[in-house]
Amino acid sequence: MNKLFVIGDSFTVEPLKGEDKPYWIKQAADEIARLSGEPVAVSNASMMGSSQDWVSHGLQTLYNGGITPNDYLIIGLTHPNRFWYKEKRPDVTNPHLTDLDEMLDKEETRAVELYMRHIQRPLLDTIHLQNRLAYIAYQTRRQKLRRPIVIKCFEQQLGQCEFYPELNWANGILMDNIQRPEFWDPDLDENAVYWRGIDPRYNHMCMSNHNILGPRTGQALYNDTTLDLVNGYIAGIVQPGSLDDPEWVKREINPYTVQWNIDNNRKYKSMTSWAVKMGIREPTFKNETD
Amino acid sequence: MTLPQGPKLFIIGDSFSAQRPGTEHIDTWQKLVAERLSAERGETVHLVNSSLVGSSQDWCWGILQEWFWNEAIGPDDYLIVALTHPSRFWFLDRLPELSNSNVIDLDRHVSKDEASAIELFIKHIQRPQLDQILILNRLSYLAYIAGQQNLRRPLLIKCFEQDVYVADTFEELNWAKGTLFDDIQSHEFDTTRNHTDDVNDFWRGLDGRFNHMCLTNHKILAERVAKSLLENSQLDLSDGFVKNLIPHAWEVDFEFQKTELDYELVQKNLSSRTRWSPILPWKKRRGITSSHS
Repeated sequence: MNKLFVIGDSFTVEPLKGEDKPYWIKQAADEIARLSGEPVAVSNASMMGSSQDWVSHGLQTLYNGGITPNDYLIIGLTHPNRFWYKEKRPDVTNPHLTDLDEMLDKEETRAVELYMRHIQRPLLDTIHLQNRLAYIAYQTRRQKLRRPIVIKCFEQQLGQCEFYPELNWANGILMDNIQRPEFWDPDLDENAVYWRGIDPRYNHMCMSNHNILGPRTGQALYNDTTLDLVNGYIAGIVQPGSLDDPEWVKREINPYTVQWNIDNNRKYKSMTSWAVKMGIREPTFKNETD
Repeated sequence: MTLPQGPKLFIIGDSFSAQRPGTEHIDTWQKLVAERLSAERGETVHLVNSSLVGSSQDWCWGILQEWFWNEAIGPDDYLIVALTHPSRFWFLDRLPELSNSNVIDLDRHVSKDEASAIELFIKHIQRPQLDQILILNRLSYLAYIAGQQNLRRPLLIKCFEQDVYVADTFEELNWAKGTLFDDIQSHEFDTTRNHTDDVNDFWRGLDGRFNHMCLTNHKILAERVAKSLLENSQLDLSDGFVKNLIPHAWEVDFEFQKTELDYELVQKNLSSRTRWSPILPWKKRRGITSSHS
């Protein structure tokens, strides 16, 4: 059976067991199956909070005999400033985690803080990014594989890798073109204003947009065409009072996460990111304060 | 970036390929290779050597990416990458030469907080697994671009022994056999000297050789490198270089100093030898060990 391999961060991660909504990756596989007349199995190795280096590590395993020219591949390109600090915590990479300091010991947290302050910089991130993407392009060419779809989850400077012909770059960015425009006012702190806790959407997108993105992705993979993330998605779908509408919740987002936020009193907990609290990064939202 | 017209020999790497300013007239291997290529082709092959003493692989790849982005290297040019040790890290943007925590007095050049950042990075973050991911990606970049732009196969010379994983099967790369450190520079010393002894202690300062090799071996190396580039064949570093070149009494052997060493540097070392004291590397002094070792 042909496979659809997926690797990335929370924008591509599969729902937890027991959550049966057809997320966009599943819909992409179904679309390929419909177009090709053959079943397609999804093999999704994405991880919430992962970094590009962790994805690279997964791909170095996949390209070592794990993928064939009949298979398909989606790569969700997370932000290059995430860093895989601790081998055993590939999910602890993001300076905007609220509780990074609770996931590492004191000296490890200090190591991360000083790395961000003194060592990490866009030039270094970009050098690594060029090399990572070249690895993918090179293996695609070498093993005569289908062009992988590479989707930017966040805005980032691509430099020359944008022009590697072996990569099928999606047009647009998941964060900027789909997930943020879903809010009535995208500039407000989503966790505080809309969700009263952590984001309960599957892959940070409402199901209405999964239903658009999934089939489009399947078509782009099957036809080797550009996936458009810019036009035709639903904006303004999340209102400040959306959570009060049970039907909307059931239809568009993950009700289990909504309940989890209530059970854990998340709306009362500060959602200010660790890096903002430490003064390492600027606030992302206009009402993000300590 | 302004480059001369005509064919060029690009070199990037660390102290095994860097040129000390003011020594351009010396017959180092890089200069001799360019001359040999020029003679064979009947036209000048310009040497573009951007190597930097103490640099890391990331810094070198930053330069490579700049060259490729600007299409500085064409199918008629040559490229040599002297591959430094993958554990070196380009910690601070302004100090690309301070990448090797094993041998430098790093804390004399950086702030207290920066030194702490580097120390904790080595202790808690850097690990062979990350180095492996990064090196495979780097070498893929080089192989990919060389193939994409129809360039001559870049010649990769390992300065130090290192695992390059499956990259030694990338057909777009021309890997030299052996390493500069283990097969040439170490064997130039008297056999009584232990290879692990401190080089700076031996020279009473910086290594008195150009690129850690005596000029006799530069000539041999240059001939072989030129042949490898011209014939697209493998360069052999493992055999045929002169061993035990450095006489026991090198400090008073002026003829040897003049013909084989960086004479100016050696004189500087010797003039201050009474004041010379070995520098214990910062990493050792601080007792920094990786939590992964």
